[in-house]
Amino acid sequence: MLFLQNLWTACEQLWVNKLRSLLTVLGIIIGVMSTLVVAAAIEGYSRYVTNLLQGMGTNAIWVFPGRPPGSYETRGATELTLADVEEVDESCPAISRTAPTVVRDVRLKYQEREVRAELQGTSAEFQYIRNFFVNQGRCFGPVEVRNGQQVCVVGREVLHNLHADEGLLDRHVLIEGKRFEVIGILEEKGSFLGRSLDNVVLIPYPVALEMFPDAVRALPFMAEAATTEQVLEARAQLVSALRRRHRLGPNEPDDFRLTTQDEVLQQFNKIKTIAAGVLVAVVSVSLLVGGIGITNVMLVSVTERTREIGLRKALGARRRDVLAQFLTEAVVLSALGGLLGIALGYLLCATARMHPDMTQVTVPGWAVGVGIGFSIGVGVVFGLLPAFKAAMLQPIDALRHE
Amino acid sequence: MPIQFKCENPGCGHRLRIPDAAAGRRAKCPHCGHVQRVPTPPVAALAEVVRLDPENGRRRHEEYAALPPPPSPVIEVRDVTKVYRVGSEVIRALNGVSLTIRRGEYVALMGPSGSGKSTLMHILGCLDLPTSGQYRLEGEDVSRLPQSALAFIRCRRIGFVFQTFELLPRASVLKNVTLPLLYAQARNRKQRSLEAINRVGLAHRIHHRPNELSGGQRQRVAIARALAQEPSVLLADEPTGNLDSRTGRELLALFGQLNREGQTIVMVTHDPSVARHCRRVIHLVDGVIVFDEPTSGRPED
Repeated sequence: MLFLQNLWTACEQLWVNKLRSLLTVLGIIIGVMSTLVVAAAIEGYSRYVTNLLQGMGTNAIWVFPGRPPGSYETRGATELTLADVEEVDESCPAISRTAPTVVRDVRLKYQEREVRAELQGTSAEFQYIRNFFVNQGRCFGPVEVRNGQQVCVVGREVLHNLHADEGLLDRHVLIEGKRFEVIGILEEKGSFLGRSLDNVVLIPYPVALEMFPDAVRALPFMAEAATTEQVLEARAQLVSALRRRHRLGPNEPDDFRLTTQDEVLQQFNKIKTIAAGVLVAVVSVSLLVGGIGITNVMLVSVTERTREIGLRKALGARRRDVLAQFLTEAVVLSALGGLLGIALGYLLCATARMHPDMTQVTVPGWAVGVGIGFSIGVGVVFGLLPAFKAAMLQPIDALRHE
Repeated sequence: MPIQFKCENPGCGHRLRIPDAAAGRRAKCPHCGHVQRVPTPPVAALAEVVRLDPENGRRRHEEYAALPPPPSPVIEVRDVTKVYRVGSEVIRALNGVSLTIRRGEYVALMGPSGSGKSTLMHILGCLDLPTSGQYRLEGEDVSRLPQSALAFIRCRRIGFVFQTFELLPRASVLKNVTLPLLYAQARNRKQRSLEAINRVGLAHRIHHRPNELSGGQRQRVAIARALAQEPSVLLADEPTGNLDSRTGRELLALFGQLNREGQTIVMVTHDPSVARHCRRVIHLVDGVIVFDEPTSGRPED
């Protein structure tokens, strides 16, 4: 009952000193708001990365030509070839699929429109490794790949840039001046770091090698481990197969580079840790500042209301009653800051979500809990000193106070 | 001596015997369960004991033996001193004060400023502790109690009325009156508050705020707040000091009525015309009682 009364008095004081209260809790508001925003960003980022990695193919391994510098003279011009890809495909039991990927930026022309797109010269396996499927028409088959037929599959973004609809199927487009028949359209994939994954055009890799002959001696490729558990095994098999084929001695470094999903994930986690560190720093500083603000304003309040404290003591309030009253006020004040911070944080995240690249930004539940918990904690800790001061006042001195 | 009275419930009429310490408090009839105020037996106050002989104008003391024994003391102060140190200076605010105030008395505490009357008032109200000496409130020595026990006594047994009313400005009349009951963790807070407000005649104003009331009404609220806890003693510090003389007289009439209902009252004042309403005047000068006498009788209206 006394607690309810304290709560009521606290709200009353808040309302009477609206502006003062608001300015006081600014630090808390900023602290809690930044907790929410940064937490939402980290959360969104993690989901984004997870989605992206799934989009890249969960068990995928990327292999790029990557010689140590200065080995051109000893090893010749050939770095990674189609033969290497075939060797990997045949000799590694943990690897279920491979697909060469020649990636180039190309000009694509349809009727009078010309757009730029990312060309990927690959095989039909691409779809399964990347988890990125044709959903209109079909993909090129092994025969078309072997024969080097000039067929292509386009992404949705390309379609959009060409101002064309699905009627583009079975029509012809010009890629770097060559005529290709559009036989399929890829499903929509979204974008990563502001770059659309749909602005892509797939052609059979023999055609791409013909168009970009330099890729013949430095051919990147994708491989897929049979299962997620076998990724490491697949990686080891792949490395030993390539080293054997390239006749590398035991002390020589790899002349190719490998990337698995785990490594990408580690990179992302590093960034995540840094972001979390920034979060902790920002939040602690603003909560400290906010807390000192609360101490300050509560000290002012205690001085202002010395007579009231004296009266309450004369009417029988014990020290702990006065302590509880002022502590309640401090906590209500900072909890209000916390709530405002949460509201503002939500607002900011909602605003951010309007940007197409930030649709994953959502406020996680734990951040709200942490925000409320911290603001209440700050109220208790920083309200203690003024409340104690009020509680220790001598009733007659307080009553005489002008 | 126990108080005997009939249950006021018309259908009951049971005879109750209540110890006189409960005078002015509430008691439950064991027969019908009706809760009522215990009437205060007509007090043979000291004013009536010491009469002036109408023939020669001298005091008559013969009636002492014929009178019933005096009511039990509420306040017993023995050789109380209070010493303050301001820097190197030692101030003796009270210098050996002894006095007894019995149940149902109506005492004015007078004296020039600096005479120690406020200090004595604070000690009587358990707001401050004496430097030496003993203070017994209703027989219990309270001069060496810890703070929390003093707070408990303040909210259960002492009602304060201040010169400047000291109401919470943003709380309604009812809330103001309920405040000490809240600290006392009393039951039936609302009912008891309403009863107290009724006694001061403000039943129609319970939801008003202090700033919507006149000065006299505010002081009535303060009195109701002091009464709500049914205190052993009502301590009033210059209760009419901030009021005009007409409102002051109305308020003194209220104090007089409360006293006739059995309420023990101690009032600090420096105004002789106010003191005349009381039935006993104690005069303090330089921390010593120089005069402690009953007043001559009813004040002239």
